[in-house]
Amino acid sequence: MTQKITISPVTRIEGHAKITIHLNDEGKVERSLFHVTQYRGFEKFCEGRPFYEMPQITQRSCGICPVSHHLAAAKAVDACAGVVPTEVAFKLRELMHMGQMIQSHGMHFFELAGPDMIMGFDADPAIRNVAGVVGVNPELAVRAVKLRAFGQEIVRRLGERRVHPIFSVVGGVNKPLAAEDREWIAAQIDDHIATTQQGIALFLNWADANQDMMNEFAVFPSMYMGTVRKDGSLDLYDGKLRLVSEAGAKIVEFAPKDYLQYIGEHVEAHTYLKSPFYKPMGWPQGVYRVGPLGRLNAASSISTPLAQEEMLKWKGLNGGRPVEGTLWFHYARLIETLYALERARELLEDPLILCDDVANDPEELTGEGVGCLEAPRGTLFHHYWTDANGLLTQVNMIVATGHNAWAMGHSVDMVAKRYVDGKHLTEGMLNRVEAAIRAHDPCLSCSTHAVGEMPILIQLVDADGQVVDTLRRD
Amino acid sequence: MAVGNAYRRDDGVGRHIVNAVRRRLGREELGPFDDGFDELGQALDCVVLHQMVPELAETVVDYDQAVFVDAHVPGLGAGMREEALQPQFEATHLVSHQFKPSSILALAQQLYGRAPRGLLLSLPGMDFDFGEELSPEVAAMVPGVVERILLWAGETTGD
Repeated sequence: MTQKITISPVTRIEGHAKITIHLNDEGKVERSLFHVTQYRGFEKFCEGRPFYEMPQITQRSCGICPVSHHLAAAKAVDACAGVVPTEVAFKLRELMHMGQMIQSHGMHFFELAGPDMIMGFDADPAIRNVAGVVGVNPELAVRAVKLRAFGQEIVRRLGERRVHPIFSVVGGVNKPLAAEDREWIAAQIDDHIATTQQGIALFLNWADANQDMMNEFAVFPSMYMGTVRKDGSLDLYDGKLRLVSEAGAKIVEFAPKDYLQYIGEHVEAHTYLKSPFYKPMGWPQGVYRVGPLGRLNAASSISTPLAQEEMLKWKGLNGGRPVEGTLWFHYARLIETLYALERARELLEDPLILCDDVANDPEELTGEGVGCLEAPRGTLFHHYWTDANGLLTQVNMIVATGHNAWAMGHSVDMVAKRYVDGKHLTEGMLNRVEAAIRAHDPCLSCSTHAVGEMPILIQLVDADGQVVDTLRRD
Repeated sequence: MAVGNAYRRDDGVGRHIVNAVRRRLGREELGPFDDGFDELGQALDCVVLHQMVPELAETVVDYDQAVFVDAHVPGLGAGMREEALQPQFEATHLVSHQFKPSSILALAQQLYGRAPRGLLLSLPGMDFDFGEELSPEVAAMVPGVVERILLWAGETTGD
C-alpha cells in the first residue's frame, strides 16, 4: 500500500506551499514534491499600466524584498525610456540595495534559520525560535534586531519609507543623499560588521560540531549562476551574469539584457512556481542554483577585504570546487552581509555620493527594457514591452526564488529520503525537511498575512486517499 | 498597528480602520504612501504595515498599549475577533519573514524589559483578491472596530 505524508503549508517562509512525501509499501520515502500552491498573476495585471509606474507597482509583490523589485523595475524602466541614470543615481540605488541585503540576510540568519542551529533541529518547537536565541545569547539577539533595523533605516533614509520606498524615477532617483544621513549610516557600520562576524563564528562553530549533517544534508552538484564584475568578483547590483559548471568552470557570461537567449522556464504540473534553466542545455540538464550559494560559487573573489577573507575560506571548503551542501547557504548569506556592509561604506566614502546630479532626462521610448540585479534570494529579472504611448503590452518577471525551484524540490527529496521514516513521524524529522526549503530563504508570495492563515498540517494518506494520521502545528 | 496588504482588498482593512480612527481624532488620513511612522510621539499613534518585523519591538516598547488590527481567515469567525495578547513567543511563523503580534510584545519584553498591554482586533476577510476596496461586509464592520479601539485606548490615555 502506498502512503503519502503531506506537510502543508511550510512554516517560516512566505506564501503558500506544501510538501508531499510519498511513501512506498514499506513506509520508506519514494518521492517528495515541493508545491507552491498560490497563483499570483503580477505580470498579467501590470499590462496596460504606464511603464514608469512599475518601480512602485512591482515592489508591492513583496513585503520583505520590495527594494529588489523597485530597483530591477527602475533599471527596466530606464531602458524603456532610453536613458542611462547618472553616476550619482547609480551609486545611490546601489546603496539602497545594500540596505536591502543587510536587512533581509540579517533577518534570515539570526531570526529564521539561526534557531535551528542554536537550539538544534530536534529541540522543542516552543523554544526553537527567536526566544531560544534570546535565551542562549541575549546580547546577540539585540544586536541582530538592530542589524536588520539598520538595513531598513538605510532604505528609509534614501526612500522615505522602510517598506515600499519612493526613490527611483526614470533616469535616476528623486533626491540626493543628505550629508547627515551619510554620517549617520557610516557611523553604524563597524558595529554591524561585528554582529555579522559573530554570526559567522556561530555558524562555523555549529558546522564544525555537526560535520556529519553538513556533509549529508542535501549535498548535491549543480551549475551555479550569479552576477560578477569584469574581473569576475562578486557584484550584487550590476554586472554580467556568469554560469559555472558543477566543477566551477565558466560555461558562459552574458549581459542581462540577453537573458532570453540563455534562460528558459520549465513548468511542472504540481506547482505554480516555474523552474528556469540554461536554455542551451535544455530541461532538466540545464538546472542551476542561484542566491548566496550560487553567487559565491560563480564569483572568483569579493572586492572588499573582510568579505574576501571569508571568501578564501569558502573557496577552500570543497577543495576549490563549488560548495554543494545546502546548509552552506547560511555561511554564504553572512559573507554577503559582510560585503554589503563594506560596500555601503565604500559608497558612502565616494566623493560623488552627496552630489545633486541625481537624474537624467529620458530620451525616446525604446519599446522594451530589461532590468536585472541580485536580490537577496538570487537573480531577479524584470522585462517590459511597451506600445508607442508607453503603456505596457507585456511583462516578464523571473524572480529569485524561481531559479531555485528545482534545487528546493531536489533538496526536499534528498532530506526526506535520509530522515523521514513514514512509520515514525517526529518533529525534528519534519523540521529538517522544512529546513531544506528554508535554507534557500524562498519568498513565494507574501500577498496576505491574515490571522489564522497557514497552520501546518501533516497528513499520512494511504493509496486510497484515506487520511490515516494527521499532525497539526498551529 | 494595522497589518496587511492594502492591495488585497480585505487584507488591507487595517489601513481603512487607521484612517477612520485618524478622522475621529481630527487628523488627516494617511496618504497611500504614508505609513505613519513619521508622526510617532503623540498620545495615540497609528501606523500601517505590510507585515510585522522584529524591530517593531523597538517601536512598541515606548507605549503603554498596542492594538494590532488585521483581517482573519473566514474559518475563525464571522464577526470581529478580540484577543488580549500576552507577550509570548509563538512557535508557528515566529521566525518567519512575518512576526505575530504576541511575539513582537515578547521580543520587547525580553530585549528591553517591558512591553505594552496588547490587544488584537481582527475582522473576517471575505475577499482577498486584487483591489483596494473592502468587501461590503467588512466595510460595514469598520466603525465598530474604531469604537472599540478608542474605548480601549481611552482606558489608559484618558483621550
